Amino acid sequence: MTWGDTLLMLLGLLLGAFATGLPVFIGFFLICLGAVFLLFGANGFGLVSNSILSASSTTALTSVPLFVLMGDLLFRSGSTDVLFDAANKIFGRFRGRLYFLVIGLSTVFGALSGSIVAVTAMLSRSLLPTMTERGYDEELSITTILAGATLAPIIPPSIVVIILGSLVNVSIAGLLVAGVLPGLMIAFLTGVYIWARMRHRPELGPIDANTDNDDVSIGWILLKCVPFLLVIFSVIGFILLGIATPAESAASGVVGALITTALYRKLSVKFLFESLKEAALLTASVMAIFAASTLFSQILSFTGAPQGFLKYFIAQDLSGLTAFLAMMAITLIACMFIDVIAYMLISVPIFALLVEAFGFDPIWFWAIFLINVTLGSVTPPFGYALFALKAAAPNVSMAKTYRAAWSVVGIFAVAITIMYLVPGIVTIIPSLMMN
Amino acid sequence: MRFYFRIEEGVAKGLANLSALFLATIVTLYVLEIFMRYAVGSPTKWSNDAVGFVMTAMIFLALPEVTRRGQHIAITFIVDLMGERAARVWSRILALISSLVSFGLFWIVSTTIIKQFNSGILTNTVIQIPKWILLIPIASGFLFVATIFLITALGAKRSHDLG
Repeated sequence: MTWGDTLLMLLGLLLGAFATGLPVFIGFFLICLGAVFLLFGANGFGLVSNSILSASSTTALTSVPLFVLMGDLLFRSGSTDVLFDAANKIFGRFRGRLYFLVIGLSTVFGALSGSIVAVTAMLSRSLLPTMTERGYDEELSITTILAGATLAPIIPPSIVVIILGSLVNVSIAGLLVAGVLPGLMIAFLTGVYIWARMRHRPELGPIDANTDNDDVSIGWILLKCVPFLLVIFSVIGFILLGIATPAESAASGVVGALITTALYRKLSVKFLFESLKEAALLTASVMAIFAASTLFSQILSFTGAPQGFLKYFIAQDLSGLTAFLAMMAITLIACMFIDVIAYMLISVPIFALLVEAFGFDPIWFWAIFLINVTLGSVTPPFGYALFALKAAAPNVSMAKTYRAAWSVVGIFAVAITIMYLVPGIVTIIPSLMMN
Repeated sequence: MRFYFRIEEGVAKGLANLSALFLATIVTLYVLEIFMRYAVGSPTKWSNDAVGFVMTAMIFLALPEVTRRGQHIAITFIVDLMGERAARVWSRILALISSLVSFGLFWIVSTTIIKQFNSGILTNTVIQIPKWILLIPIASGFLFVATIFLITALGAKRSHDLG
């Protein structure tokens, strides 16, 4: 059997197993067990146990439950209401102010949580009804919410970065901070897009003023936000200063979140235990897939299929730009249909060989790859952030959500083009940190 | 069937609570490490290894509750296109396959535990412990996951929760 047949058969069987609706980790294990038996016989099963143990005890991945826990403590406790009040006060009275408020809030939320679904659900539930009620264009409001929520996995902390970093030979800390400037740039581009749409059609953005907190000074409201800055600093700041590893900074972020929640009097033992449990459950569902896919990658590598694919790809004599576009296009299309984490676990080991062969800067490439993968979460028809929005705002039609999502795809396409042309946007902070 | 559901719920929730405590342990170990490094000037040699050990237990003890709640990540668009009755039958078939795979994994890991117990192999870490100990939560996790999938496959009541 040639490498091509092996690759097509393994990937085809895997995608087929996923398509049946089997849990993704079971799909991976089913194919892996069959492949191990065919390749090594029953004696090869020892490899399975050791691979599962090795993958599940990867300490770099402890950041996953810790980042989830940090976000959960802050969001579910309602502590983030303080940020709503502050943003509401800062964005005073101008045309379409709530659009910009969503962008500002999403950027801060992105630095407090790595979950696109959590931020989508929160903004859709809290701000979308208000925006519709005040005459804001619903489609543009959804575009703003989706674009804003997409910042969550890009701006650190980010769960997908941790998983990606543990799959490729790249500094996880470098990859985490590489998302800061691109995240801010996407927020800015979203603002420009809204401004341009309103300039063309002013009726899209009504002039409304904030009616809350009029008797409270802006200084006091900003002072109440200080604990959040401590949480952000204990994650991003500790990594940038080289004080702690990403996992340690995630743990200090959890402590910061605990202190913040306690300061707002939202902390209780029961709530803390529930948050711990939910974070552990979410991590288990992700890590079961990671453990299974690690085994799959090992088997794939053993067959020599990725190396064969690499030789074939290089023999096509493609330019760097064509190779880059091909990998990005495959990623965007695949993430419309396949779960983001499952896709990453299948594609990254193969793409890693191409990144090395074409001499791409690994931080630059994987940061853009991550942004593209994140985009898959809001790309119709199966982006799961779209379903999170639909669940949080059931009255919004799916057709309108899809139309709004395509605008986000456009904004991201512009952002990725800029990052391709100006790589420094991605690489400057990691290189400063490493120097 | 209701009796089995109650036992299943009790075991899965109990293990999930234990998993939550392990997560709290991970936070504590990291905070302790930062404290020892910067406040005492004497970083521990063992905390990183301990975090890895605890992480494995945390993951596999939470897995039965994830299964019970039907929270596994799955790509369900084909199942979503099916009619209600067909989807119910199909979900039970998927649960049965998942149960068989999980039982298979339980058997494989258990066999390795026995082999490693007999050979006395240790972990390749700073503080060395018998490797088979770390495999116990993995084997237990797969056993309970397999059982929950089996109950789901047999009982129509929860079959729609799969995935």
